[in-house]
Amino acid sequence: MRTAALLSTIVLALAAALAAQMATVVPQIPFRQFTLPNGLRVILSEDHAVPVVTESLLFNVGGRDEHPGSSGFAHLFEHLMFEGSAHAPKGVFDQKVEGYGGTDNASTHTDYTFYFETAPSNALPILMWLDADRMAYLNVTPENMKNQIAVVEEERRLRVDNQPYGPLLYVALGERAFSNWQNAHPVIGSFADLDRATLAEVKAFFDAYYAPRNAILTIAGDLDLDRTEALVRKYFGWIPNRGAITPVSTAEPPRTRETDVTIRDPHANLPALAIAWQGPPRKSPDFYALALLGQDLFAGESSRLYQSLVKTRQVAIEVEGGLGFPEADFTDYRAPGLFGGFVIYKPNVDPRLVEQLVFREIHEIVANGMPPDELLRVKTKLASDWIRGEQTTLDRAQLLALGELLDGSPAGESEDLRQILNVTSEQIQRAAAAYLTHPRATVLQDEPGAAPAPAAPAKGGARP
Amino acid sequence: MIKPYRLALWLAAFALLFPAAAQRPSAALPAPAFMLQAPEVGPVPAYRPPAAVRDQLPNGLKLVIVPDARFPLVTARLAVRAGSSLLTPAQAGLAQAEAELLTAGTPTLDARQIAYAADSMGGAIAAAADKDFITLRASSLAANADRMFALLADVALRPTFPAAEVALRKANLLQELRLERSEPGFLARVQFDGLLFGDNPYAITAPTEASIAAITRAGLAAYHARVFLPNNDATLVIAGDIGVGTARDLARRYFGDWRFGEPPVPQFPAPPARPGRRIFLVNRPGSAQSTILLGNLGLERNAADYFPFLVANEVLGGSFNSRLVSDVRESKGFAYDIASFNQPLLAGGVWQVETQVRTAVTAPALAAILAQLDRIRQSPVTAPELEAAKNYLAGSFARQLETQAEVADEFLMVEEFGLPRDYLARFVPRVQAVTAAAAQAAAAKHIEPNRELVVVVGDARRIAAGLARYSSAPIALYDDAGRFTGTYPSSGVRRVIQP
Repeated sequence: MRTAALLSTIVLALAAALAAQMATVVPQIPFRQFTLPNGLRVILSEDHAVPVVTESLLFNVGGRDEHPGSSGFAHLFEHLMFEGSAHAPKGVFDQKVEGYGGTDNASTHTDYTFYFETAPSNALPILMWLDADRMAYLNVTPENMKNQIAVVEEERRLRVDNQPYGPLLYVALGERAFSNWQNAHPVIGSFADLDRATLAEVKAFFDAYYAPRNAILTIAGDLDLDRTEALVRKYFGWIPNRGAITPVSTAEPPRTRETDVTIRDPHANLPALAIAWQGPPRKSPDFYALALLGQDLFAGESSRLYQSLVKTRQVAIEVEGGLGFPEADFTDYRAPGLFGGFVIYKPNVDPRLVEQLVFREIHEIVANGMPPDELLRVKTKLASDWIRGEQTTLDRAQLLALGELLDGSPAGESEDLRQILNVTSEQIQRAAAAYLTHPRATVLQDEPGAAPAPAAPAKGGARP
Repeated sequence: MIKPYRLALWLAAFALLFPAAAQRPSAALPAPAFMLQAPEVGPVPAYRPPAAVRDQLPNGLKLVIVPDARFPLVTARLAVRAGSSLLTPAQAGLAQAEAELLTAGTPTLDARQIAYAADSMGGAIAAAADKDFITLRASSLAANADRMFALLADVALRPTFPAAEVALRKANLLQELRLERSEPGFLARVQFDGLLFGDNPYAITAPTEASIAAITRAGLAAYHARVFLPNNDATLVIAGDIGVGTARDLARRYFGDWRFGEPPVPQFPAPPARPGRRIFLVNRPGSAQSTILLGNLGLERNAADYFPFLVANEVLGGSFNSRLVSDVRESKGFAYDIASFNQPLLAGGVWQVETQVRTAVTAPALAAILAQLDRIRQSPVTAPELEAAKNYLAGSFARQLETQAEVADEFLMVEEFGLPRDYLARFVPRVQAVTAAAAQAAAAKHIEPNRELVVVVGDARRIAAGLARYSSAPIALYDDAGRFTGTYPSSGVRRVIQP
């Protein structure tokens, strides 16, 4: 690299050329799609690069679908699904998957619960048999329920309550930033609700949400499309539907004044700030604009807030955030979601300064937009990261399934990417001005140290 | 940059607690005949790693080119022998700071321009230090390979360590250290490696306030001049959508004039003898859980019984089906997760078991782990256990070569550890060749239940008494800055600060 000037000239020229090609640089993942008579939606994607296959089952149920009094049920099921079924009793699921050289796991989200197995491709019939059996014949027993409630509670201790910033990001932020309980309660679950859950309630939850018509089966990797389709029809086609879903409303009232709260964090050594705004509807121009702005503000060392808070003002240690943060990513939730940010800062820094600096960057965007070279840079980074994020059979299965769930087509996520790569500076200005305002903000300060005897005092701040 | 609070797959479900009899659902849903039994499946498909071309530049730089056209990306790894093994305790953190500051400035680019340049080529560039190496990792869209190599060479060979960036990195290292000390896993790791390795440089895992203060721009430049030599076991791996000829030309163009020198020779004094099992307790008052980290010296990658030990460890604690998971998590419900693993180093290795358990069951959990260590040494693994462990290792191997970054990392590892060139191709057959007797012999040789180093991070007031009987000497107590504060049982309110 001879000179910085030359470099930036090259960068600009190539970035411009790249932006034009971007849509072709990021190819659509190939897929075949069909729906079984029982309503199970199926997506197959063939690729023989590595002799590995991923089978995933996405159930259209997340923390947000729970009813008051049953907080944590979606997450509880994520565990119960590994507890055994009629023909694959307790322990057999993991034994089979791992015994054939595979791995399995699952995760619970605001809008869905995702199960997957990745294994050498010869094991695919075993994976289908295991998933079909637990979908049809899960052992929802008092013993399994009791045990798994204990495990879920231990997991909450491990991953949230015993971690610095865990309660801040995964409990308090959602509770404060949303008004509607459906959106506000934590996905990880409530000890009180889990402890008083009855077997009948848990069974009803399974019957309603774990039926074929509420699931998306995706298989990606080293497979033959025709043979796999035949196997899918055999193993999943006979499973009947059952139960009925009681829909919930996730509507949120508009926010008109800033919420400021301070919580004490006994496990943190450094103070932190979490900030969130309710975001736009999916597939709206503002949604795509804020997805890109989230990258620009928070992603990596070139991001605006890293440069401002960590490098120039030197008040912060870490910066993270974006559209969907902290519970989700912009690729994997239904609106309403949050546009969130998180800053760990130095102990002697005025918390209000950190918030002001965050708003300063937002106001700068609102006033002046994003310069063309910056816009191209952020898009190039997003597009190339997207390619990196499609490399594994698991990545591809999950993206196709999420497209089907959220956008009604396995190609939905790629279509979202194309929309994001077409976002203009003006579009970003408009979205930031409409959404990332003081009156709509929820600002949480995380103060290191044990909580005082009563609950943490809430500083009720209001700004116009 | 550490992300301790980041909960990737934070709701990950690993199932199973107390064993309960499987019950058939009462609903009379008739099962098709094919559901009654698991289907038969075909043989495991063979995995052939991508073909690699190896070369060496006249200055000594080793070159590995792995064409991989699955994705329009190019990935590079440039590693030199460095890391903490060339440091004294007073220099702890220097290798990490060196790595992080490589991308902070070159004669023509400042830190921000480097970050912008990486983003603009659809890539990333960052360096990290471990115990044996400093590794630069870079990638870009394939069309931008030339620019990526130019940037990689610039930061690797011509870093300027700008004074303002050094000062900021030092200030932030101090804060990151505070942040890390809120993590029980970090506290355990620092004590464990320190105690296991003693005066051996592998003891160094994290900086201290004093060693951060001692970092200077001159020291960083001197360390760079000392270790960034093409003949210091340096390897450049180029993987991706790029031709062999193009890759070789890029390597020659950007690294051909890299001057060789006299590489440093790390010294590895023998780690301290461990006459009996000792427990060291890092006090974390109010901790809801105890972190247990126990183990002993482990195996190098080219050890004769590396593969038998890999299989034995797999059966013991390498997967969800393992004995430690079945016992400590599923049967006893003490922990959410538990694992054992061997971490190979250039000159040795570390074998360890790690778990987090509820505070109230800390001592019973340790007893359960120790019983499983005895069992894997004393009786052969069963045929089904052996087969499942081998399949799991073989399957994991293919699964971890799905991405271009993983492919590049595996080929780099083969070069760094001086492994045979057919190591990746022969990995699965070597796993499959392990017998139950060989696995047991390796476990008996390399797992030392009565001499384990045990580090526990937890609420000392609640757990010290229960743990004491498992330690051959009084439990040594530490605070979260690693300072020795006394023993349990103690002869009084003695408070000793180690120099």
